[in-house]
Amino acid sequence: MKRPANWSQHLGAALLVLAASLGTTYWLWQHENQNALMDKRAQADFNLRAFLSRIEQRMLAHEQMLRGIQGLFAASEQPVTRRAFREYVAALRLGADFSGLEGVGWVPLVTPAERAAHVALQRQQGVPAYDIAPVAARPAWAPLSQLEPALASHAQSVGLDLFADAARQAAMLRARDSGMATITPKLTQLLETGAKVKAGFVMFLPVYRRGGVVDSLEARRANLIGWVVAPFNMEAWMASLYGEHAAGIDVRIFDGIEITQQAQLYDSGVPGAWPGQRSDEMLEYLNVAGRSWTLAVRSLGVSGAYASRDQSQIIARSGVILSVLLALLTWVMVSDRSRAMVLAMRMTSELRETKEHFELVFDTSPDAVMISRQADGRIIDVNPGFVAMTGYTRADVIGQALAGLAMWKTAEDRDSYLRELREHNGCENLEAMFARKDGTQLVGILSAQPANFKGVACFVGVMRDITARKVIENRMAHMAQHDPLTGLPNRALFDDRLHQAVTQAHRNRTRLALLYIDLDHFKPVNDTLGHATGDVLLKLAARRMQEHVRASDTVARIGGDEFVVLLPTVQDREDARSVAEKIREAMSEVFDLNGGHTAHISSSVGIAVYPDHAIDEIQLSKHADDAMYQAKQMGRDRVVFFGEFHPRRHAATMRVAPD
Amino acid sequence: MPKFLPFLPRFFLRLFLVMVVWPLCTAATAAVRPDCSRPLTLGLHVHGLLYSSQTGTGIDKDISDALAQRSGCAITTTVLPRARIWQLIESGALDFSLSGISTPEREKFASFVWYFSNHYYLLVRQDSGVEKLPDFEARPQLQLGVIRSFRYGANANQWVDQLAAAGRISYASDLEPLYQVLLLGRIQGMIIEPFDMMDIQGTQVKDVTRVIAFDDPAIPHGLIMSKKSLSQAEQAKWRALVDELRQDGTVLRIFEKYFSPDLARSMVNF
Repeated sequence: MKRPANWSQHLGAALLVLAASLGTTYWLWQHENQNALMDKRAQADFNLRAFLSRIEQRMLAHEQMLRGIQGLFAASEQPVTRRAFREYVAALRLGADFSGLEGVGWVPLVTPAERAAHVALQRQQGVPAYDIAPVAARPAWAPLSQLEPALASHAQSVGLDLFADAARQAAMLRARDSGMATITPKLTQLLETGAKVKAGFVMFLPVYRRGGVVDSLEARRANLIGWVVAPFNMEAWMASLYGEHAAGIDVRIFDGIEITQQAQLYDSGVPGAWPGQRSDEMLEYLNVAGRSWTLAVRSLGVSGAYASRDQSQIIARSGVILSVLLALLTWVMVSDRSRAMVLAMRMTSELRETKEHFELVFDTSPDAVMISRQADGRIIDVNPGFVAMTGYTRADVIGQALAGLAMWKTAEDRDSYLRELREHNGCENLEAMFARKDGTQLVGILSAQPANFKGVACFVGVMRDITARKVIENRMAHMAQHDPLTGLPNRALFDDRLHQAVTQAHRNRTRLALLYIDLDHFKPVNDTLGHATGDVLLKLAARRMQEHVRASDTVARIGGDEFVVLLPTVQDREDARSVAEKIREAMSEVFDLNGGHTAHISSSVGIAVYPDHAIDEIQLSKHADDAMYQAKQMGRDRVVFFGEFHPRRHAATMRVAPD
Repeated sequence: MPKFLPFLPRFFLRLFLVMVVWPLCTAATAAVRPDCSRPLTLGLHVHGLLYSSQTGTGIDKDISDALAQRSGCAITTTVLPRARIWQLIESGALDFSLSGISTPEREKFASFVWYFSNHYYLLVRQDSGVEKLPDFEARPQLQLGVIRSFRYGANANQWVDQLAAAGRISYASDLEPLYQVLLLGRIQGMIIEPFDMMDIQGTQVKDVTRVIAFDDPAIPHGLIMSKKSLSQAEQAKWRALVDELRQDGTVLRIFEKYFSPDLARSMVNF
């Protein structure tokens, strides 16, 4: 396939469209990606907030539960007995909602002064082996005097001084000072239950003396009687809290703000090697019962419902496909348009050329061109050639019927033209006579062809002026049939006229006479005075002969000094003799030649009459010639009829002729 | 007697005020006292001088006490994360909180009675190279620590939202861990208010940071009332009560406990 001249431009346009649409696709893809990322973040943030909310609520629930025990102490007018505590905790029915809660205990603040009474009371209330351990001397002890539910495994822990553990002591003192629930840092050993855990913490809530004022730090310190304690196993606590609802996020929880394995309280992900701090984790700091926990949150691979909202892949794929299609379409459209333009320009050019050609021909043709409507013959247009040829202006003829123009010389020509058009739907080389506007004659040869001009059925007529040619033709025809010297018909024309005359006479049963005339003594004139003078003599002789015949008669020169005269209608021989005699007399008169010369000649005339002497022109000519010869023999300057002096020969001829 | 004569009009004026106007005023104020037929709840959040969980004291605690005292209502205070407070106010589970600022979203579920106003500041690490606010935005590696659900002035809000959209925010439920991670360099900036300044005075935080003010006007803070739990009439009564606390100087006295008199006045008189 041949490439169009500007194919590179077409390709450029297509590539431009491709680039623009790919660019738009890229922008949309980016935009969608950004949206998807923001959706993802928003979703992760939503999940995270829900998760945070659960932790806070769960922690508050625990605090509330401990406050219940705080209430037990506040409401009891008597010191709370072990039995009352046990029954109270049992009544709380701490089920699955409190999963991870390893027990609820009571830690009284025991000063050295109170120690003996405290130990005695516990022993008295059902723990015979009760004692505070370790027994190191302190300003005050915080023994775990009771932990419910009382399992066998807990027995070791009863009486354990929690102040001996620095972390617990700090938490307990903070609880005392603030009046709020506090938790310890991460623990791996729950002293309260004697169990090792992966991660755990202990919550303390201070209990103040019944009726004591606690609206200041000092008052709180002075009125503290102990703590409600609750150890927690973090893994179990998180399991019940988190369950399967942590959609879309992976959470690790750290005690404090350090991201270390030692500080890690919880990891929702698959257990594995310690990953350190991940770059894609968002950190959130949560205050839990007076302690900061750090949540490291990572968005997980998208779930189904979320993935369906990410349209970026679809946008990218369909965008690329559409871009390519658009570019192809552009290429097709641009190149098609270009091809159409080229074609249109070529056609326009051809059309213009054709028009120019037509106009050139129409305007410059010497022939007359007439365009007339077929329907009514009215002229639509004529060319300058017509104007030049006929003298009629365009204004004179446009709108007029061609047949109605005054320029037709004869009605016959006009009618034959109309007939040709009617019968043959056109005409060819119809010769016709016209009159120009100035009245001069014009011979034209006319052709007409049907055509469609601006949607109208027309005849396009072309007329050539053959007036001059006609003159030449006429002259040549004359020359072919006449003697150039005398202007008389020559033998050919004469033979033709003789034939016609014989036919006419035969038909009309009339007579005709044929005269053969030979000039006597012409040769001496020719020889002495020259051929030119001889020619003058011949011309004068011919003129005299014509002067003595009728217009219907024909005089012709058939040889050097031989002439013939045809009298197509004669009454009788005398009629012919009369003419012959006049000619003979005219010939015998003196001829004045140029140069002062004169000539005296005579003539010998032989006559043959139809049908008296012959009935065909050949015989008739021969007989006239014979008679002329006879006249010569008889001494010249006389008129002799055929057979006048040789009846026998005449008779014989008559007999033979029919044969 | 002529000596006392010039004081007589003032004496009678005082007498008139004490005998006639004061009882009328108390009668009028008594008439608009809020309904105390049910215990009311108020959420406190740990935030600098507003409330310290360590000491159980702060401006908000004092305002809360003043409200309880003046109204005669029992108001139970609970210390909660700020985000949780807003949720509870919206749901109507909490009647009041303090030191709240308004946003179009919050106006839908809460009404406010202003009693102080203050500016917001960016506390930024000196080694971050941030001299002015746009510097922080221009450095994509810098992280900002904010308290979840906190809002600020219009410009600061826009600034924080842009950082959030770029994933450059670390959230916390209170300021304490943010100070720590700011020291660690895990975040490079955080937004503070004048009542947080005391927290950083004399600490290492002060040594490594600088303070840049947001170009927002002072933002009014006030009593947050849950529209769901308090009727329009009750809200109007509480509004009158807070206005009264402002007018009679109670609010100013509370602020003067924590700030210099000048700063306290500039915060309370707006």
